[in-house]
Amino acid sequence: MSNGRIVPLTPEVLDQRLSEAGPLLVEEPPPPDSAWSYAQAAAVLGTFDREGLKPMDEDAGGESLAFLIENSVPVAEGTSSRKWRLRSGVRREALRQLGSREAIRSACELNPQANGDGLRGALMSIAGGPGQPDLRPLAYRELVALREATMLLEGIIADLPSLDAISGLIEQQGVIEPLRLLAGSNFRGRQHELEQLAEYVGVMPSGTLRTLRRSARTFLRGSERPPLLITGPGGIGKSTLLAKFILDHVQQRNVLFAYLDFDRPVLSATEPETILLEAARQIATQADAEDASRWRELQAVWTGEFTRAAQESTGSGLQARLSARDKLIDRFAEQVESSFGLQTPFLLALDTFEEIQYSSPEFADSLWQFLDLLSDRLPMLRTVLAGRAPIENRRCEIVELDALDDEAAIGFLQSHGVSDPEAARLLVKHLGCSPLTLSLAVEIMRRDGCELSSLADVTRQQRLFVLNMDHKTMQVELYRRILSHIHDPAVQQIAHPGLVLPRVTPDLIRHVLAVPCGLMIEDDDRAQELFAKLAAEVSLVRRSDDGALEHRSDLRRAMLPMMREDAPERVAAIHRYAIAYHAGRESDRDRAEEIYHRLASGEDPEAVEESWRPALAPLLRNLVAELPPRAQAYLAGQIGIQVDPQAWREASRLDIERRVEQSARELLDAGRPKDALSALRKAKDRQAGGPLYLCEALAYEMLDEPARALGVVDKALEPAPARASSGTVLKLLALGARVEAAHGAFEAAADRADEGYYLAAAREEAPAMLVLGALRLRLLRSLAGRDRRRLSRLQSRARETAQDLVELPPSALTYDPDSARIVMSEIGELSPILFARFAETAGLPQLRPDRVRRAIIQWNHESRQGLESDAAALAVMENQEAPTPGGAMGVLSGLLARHPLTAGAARALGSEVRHALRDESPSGQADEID
Amino acid sequence: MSGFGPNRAALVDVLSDAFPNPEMLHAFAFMHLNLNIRKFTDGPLLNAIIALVEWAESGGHESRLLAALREARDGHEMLMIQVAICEAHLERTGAAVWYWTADPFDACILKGHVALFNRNELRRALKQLEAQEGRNVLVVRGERGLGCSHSLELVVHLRAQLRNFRLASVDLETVPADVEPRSIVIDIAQQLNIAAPPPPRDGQAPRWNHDLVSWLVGDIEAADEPAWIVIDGFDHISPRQEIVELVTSLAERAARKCVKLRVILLGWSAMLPPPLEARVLHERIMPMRREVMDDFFTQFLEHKKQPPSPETVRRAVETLEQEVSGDYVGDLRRISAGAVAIARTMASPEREP
Repeated sequence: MSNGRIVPLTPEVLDQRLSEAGPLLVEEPPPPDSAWSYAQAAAVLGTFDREGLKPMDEDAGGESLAFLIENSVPVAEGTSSRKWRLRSGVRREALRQLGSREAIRSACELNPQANGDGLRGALMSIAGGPGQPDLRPLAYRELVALREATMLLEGIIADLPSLDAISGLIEQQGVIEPLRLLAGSNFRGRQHELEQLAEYVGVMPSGTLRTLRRSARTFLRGSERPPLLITGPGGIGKSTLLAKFILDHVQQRNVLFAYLDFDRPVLSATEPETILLEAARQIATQADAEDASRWRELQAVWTGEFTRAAQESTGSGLQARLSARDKLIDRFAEQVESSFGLQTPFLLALDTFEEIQYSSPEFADSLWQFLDLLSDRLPMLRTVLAGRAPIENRRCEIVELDALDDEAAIGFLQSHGVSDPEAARLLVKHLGCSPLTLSLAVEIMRRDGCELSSLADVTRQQRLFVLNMDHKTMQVELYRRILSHIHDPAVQQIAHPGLVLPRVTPDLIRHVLAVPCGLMIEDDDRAQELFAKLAAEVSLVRRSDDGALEHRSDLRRAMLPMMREDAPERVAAIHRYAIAYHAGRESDRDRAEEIYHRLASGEDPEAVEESWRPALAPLLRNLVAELPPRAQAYLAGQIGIQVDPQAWREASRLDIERRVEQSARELLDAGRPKDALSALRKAKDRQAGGPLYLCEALAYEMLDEPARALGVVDKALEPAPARASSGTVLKLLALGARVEAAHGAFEAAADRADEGYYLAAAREEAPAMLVLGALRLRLLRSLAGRDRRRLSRLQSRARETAQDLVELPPSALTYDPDSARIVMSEIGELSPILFARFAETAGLPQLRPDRVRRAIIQWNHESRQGLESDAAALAVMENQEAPTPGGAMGVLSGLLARHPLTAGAARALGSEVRHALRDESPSGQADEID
Repeated sequence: MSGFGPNRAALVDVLSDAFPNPEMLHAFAFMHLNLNIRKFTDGPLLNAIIALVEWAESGGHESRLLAALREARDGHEMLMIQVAICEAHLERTGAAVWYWTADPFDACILKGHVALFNRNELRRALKQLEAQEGRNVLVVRGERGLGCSHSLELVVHLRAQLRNFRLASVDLETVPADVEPRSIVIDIAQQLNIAAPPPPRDGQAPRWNHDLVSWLVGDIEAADEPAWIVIDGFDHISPRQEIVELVTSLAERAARKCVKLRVILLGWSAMLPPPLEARVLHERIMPMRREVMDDFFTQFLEHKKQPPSPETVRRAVETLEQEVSGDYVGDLRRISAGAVAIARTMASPEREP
């Protein structure tokens, strides 16, 4: 043991240590053959039960069991009995040791699985022979297991089923499977609606009278048809109807389809292109083999192109994106025609359409335009929308589902566990066909513990309750009955009328609901206990994204009026307590709920104006319909959603101005400046320096009308801008500078940018300082040339910018990487620290390797410590091959993180960044004249 | 007895001699361990010493503390003797740690003697995830065998060192091909110590994924500590569409509106749905090359505070090439084991008499 200094690691010391170390890698000996007996048995099972597994050799000992356990992982199944799964490398080796069809079959037979095991079944179908398994009758899950089995046996036994064929079928079934699950096995009734759909799509059975009528209509009005909307309240069966229709026709292959649900993550309300990308995936499964692979290739190409385009969202990038959208439609349509011809109907089913409608009328409008373009290119396109809300201002064919028909209601009950058709029929006869009523009734029967399979098992009292109910108050009565089943009276109180709160948390139970609901809740543990009990009432509440509980939306719609009517004083008290609770807290969620309760208790919306911020919009969106009309109009203006026309009749001028701004912004984002200008005309009066001016100037900028754009900017800034929001004024100044510069008036542009920068600095608006700082430096660089006076102005502004920005927190520099790079190119020498910080946060553009090398040499020369101790730097300086995959640039990034940058190196790098930015500019021209 | 074992009391005693006042100890911890003991205590000297020893023992930082003491107070004879005794105890009990970094994101050797070669993009991306800078999803892409799964080791290391997030990982290669999305959510919920989602009662099966993700995300967002979910194995199997949609939904939710949830997908080769793809962090792992080994040993020597001369690095790389027969595209585990063995040989604490 020595306490001395560490011996420096010279090459000689290293050689000595390595020579004394002997072989460094020691191979682990493989386990003996006797260790494999359990693993071979487990290899043919997807999962196994450790206690019940029989080894291949019945004398296998503890060593074999230990080897199995060491190489298995537990599988979470949500049941009490723990299952295990063999690791894949060991599984493959165990199968290789089994080595033949016979041995694999024996292993399968040794451990029969009462509850089925997909992998075992698939291995049996391969090993059981004779010949290969028939793929055609296999269900989706069987195919998935067969693919796994086939991949495992590759190279072990010969003559396996084709992986390509299995994968193709899995893809096909993968599109159909969700529809099967939606339609279920109990679909009944809805004959009339199915015929309406068939008529619309054009796939009526041949020879029927309706087919002849349809042919005549098609002849008269051409093949194009407007979209068809299936509308009705939630749970009425819109998706089920669509699924059933598609399934009926998919076998006949007489219709091409794509079923898309706006609830799914692959679709985006704001990006209609995503519809075609997902449609292409589904169409690939309906095409023949050659076309299918073409569709898959195209889908990958289009996805890549769209992802790149999605990152461009402003200015010329936006225009390019819109033009890319048109091209995508063309290419998609061409491929549909090429694969399926012109006469095949293409059913585009768009489910949960209300997601689009509720998000914004402008998104819906963009989607309509998109569908119109698609329909122009594909006359046999048949778009079916399923949604809760009616569609205004668009021509649509309508299928309205207001209640289930008797047969469908019986199917609904059967799918909810009432398997006896007679029992279901009796319930429908007495309760009617509303899905909400039926599901409440089923819930009561479930809670009463009666067997749902037969009414014979239902007690007389229950039967009397269900069968003698007053139809008018049926849902309310059923709801009350569910409440009465809650055993803990405190939880009952919280559920009614406590669920008037949009969200319930343990803290809200303790501090808001306790007093109005007449509860003594002494500590957080008790509140947590009540919360857990309420969470277990899954027929009443759902868990929301943030862990709170929410009233189920279908129940809330029907039951909120009942709660207000039943206990008006307690409901008012809950609002009061909730306002006090949330007002004392800072989060967006608290602000949103404070506003909700203030508006719900009838406060004037102007009174909540001070508390409003944009982040509240998504938190209040789904609650707007619960509020009084005037409050609805206020929130519609703030959030940008559609509300009842009655609400707009009570709106203030400011609400209308906000609404117009929302519309104009969305239209500008969609690349429709002319429509935005039309929308802006709807607001008669405008706030001076306000956002409507900004929208108007942006529209003129997009239309390339600089004089008008500048006129609007000047008009907006004419009155004292101090009254207006500084954000809007700064944006107006930046826009003015941009428009001037785009038309060659660099001097005026630089003055505007200067003005904006000083205002931003005075108000400490960090993002605006970065953007306007970059803009003015870029403009001054363009002007400077060899003019000394201008160069001096540039340097003075650069110094000023560097001094200001170095004070800001590093996170402020990440706001706009493009601006950060422009600043970086000008301030290098003035502030090497800031240069390095920018390089870390915004990243360097691609620089020329020889210039990077020169800068590193200079850096080494100037640096007190020198960079020679850094192997990577040394290699670059000695002009060896750059020692990282990123080459000299990679080395530079590492050096910036490890060593302080010197002034000369920063100047050289700044100049090189400027060069790179010039190369990256779309025109390929220098903005500057240096 | 763990940590310093029977030597703990003597160490505390000699530390109070070596650092006569709390300020000196605070300064030592701050300068040499990048540690602010005031976070734990602001009391008298003895409290500060106990806090320092507790910090070392509870986080597996014993060797790091001893090395820092050698560096800072090598003139204090009694302290150096006690340090040597403690080092010998750690060696004997197998608790000696021969490698650490001040910044856990920089670690190039991880638990279980796994080497992490290069992976600067991964380190940067994980830093961003940890710093809550707005991007909550990371996708690691790369050919099979290049080390996508290795990324998990760094996440596990960060979890152990930072202790400021919960971690759940799922390797799709180890779940049955016909696994239900709900089973995967249950697995994640169990690892994060949150309640399992209730079984679906009614409604539409394709929307169950939506409900499962809501359940999981709801509990994650309600907790104080962020949760990182790592899903691995996409480069080894072809997951079913339901599983792909579950994972996509989770990533979509994390990218769009979560504060606490982070999702890391390892070996995911396909594009994510376009709007999501544009909002995630990426790392593409490139094939291994000799230069990467240079970087590894350079970085390692810097961490050990040894000047990384090009000659030493070259000899280390050549030794590794002999061990793995110059095959950089072969078994990554073998290359990793070789690199760690060489690093360990280089790091043996030989001292001047």
